[in-house]
Amino acid sequence: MRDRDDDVRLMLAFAAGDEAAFAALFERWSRPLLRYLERLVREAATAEELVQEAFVRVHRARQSYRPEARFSTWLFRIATHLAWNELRRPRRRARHEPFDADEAPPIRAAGAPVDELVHARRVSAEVEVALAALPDRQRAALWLAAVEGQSYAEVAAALATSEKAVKSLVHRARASLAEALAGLEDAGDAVLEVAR
Amino acid sequence: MSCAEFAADLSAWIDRELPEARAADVTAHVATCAACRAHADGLRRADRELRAIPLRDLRPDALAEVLRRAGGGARAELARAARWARWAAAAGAAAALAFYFAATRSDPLDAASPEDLAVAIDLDTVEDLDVIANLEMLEAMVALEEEGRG
Repeated sequence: MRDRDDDVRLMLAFAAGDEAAFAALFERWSRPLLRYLERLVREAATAEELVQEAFVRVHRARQSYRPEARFSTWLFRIATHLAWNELRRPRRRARHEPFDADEAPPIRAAGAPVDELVHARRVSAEVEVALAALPDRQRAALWLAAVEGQSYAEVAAALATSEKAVKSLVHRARASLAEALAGLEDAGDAVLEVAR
Repeated sequence: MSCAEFAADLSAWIDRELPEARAADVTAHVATCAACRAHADGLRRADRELRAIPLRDLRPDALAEVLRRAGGGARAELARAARWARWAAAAGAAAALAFYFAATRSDPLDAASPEDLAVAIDLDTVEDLDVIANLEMLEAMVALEEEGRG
């Protein structure tokens, strides 16, 4: 768990002119932000561009920063708005990029038995496919709540909607993902039964 | 209350977003209902899988690029501030002239030819009058920034 006060301290130090504090915030948050934006816009290069743009906005807004919320909440809100603008572009909507299972994240349980590694890779790929299949707002709401630990009020502010709507978005997204994972387990069990 | 009604609140229950009384109801139900407990476990598992998605590094020059772009923005802001200061100074000078003509009850149209008015709102004249004390410093900073960019 990140230290909320530490992020705020760094941002206030940066606002007071400490450029090293900005570098520390970038080091701490750029990769989690990239992971979020990659899932949101589903283009690695665009996601990286948006991470940079989000930090440029932070840099320029340093004098107006007020520690009323966690730094990360503010950062992810900026990034979500940027991603929304990107997703609304006509050129963007015309381009459909189905998820390629071959580009699934690397297997994370190095050293585990081969069948476990294969299964882990299949689960990772299935999570990415299920996530990509969600509507944009569901995907964003679930990520902000479940991964970033934001309150529904904070998510509602980021998505410019109500807390009630966020509750529904998060629930539907999480249920879809759980269903996809349950289906994978059922298929895996069936394969094992046949093998026996 | 049916399992379906509890199921609708399971996600918010996991996120600790339910009112206290409702959260207590869901907790009590999940403790006694195997189906809802399994459902909640499935939802939690989805969260775990999301959090397990690995982080990826940005390009090595990403921070430098951010600072370059942010610096460009700072220069632009500085230039905008300088432009605003020029406008404000010119407007102030024009207002001062108008006040002077009114105070001395002379006809501004007689006292100020078009050339005079043009001079009055000219930035150099305003600077000579020290209408804005730090305008020269601001201009110098912009010039330095421009040189640095070039």
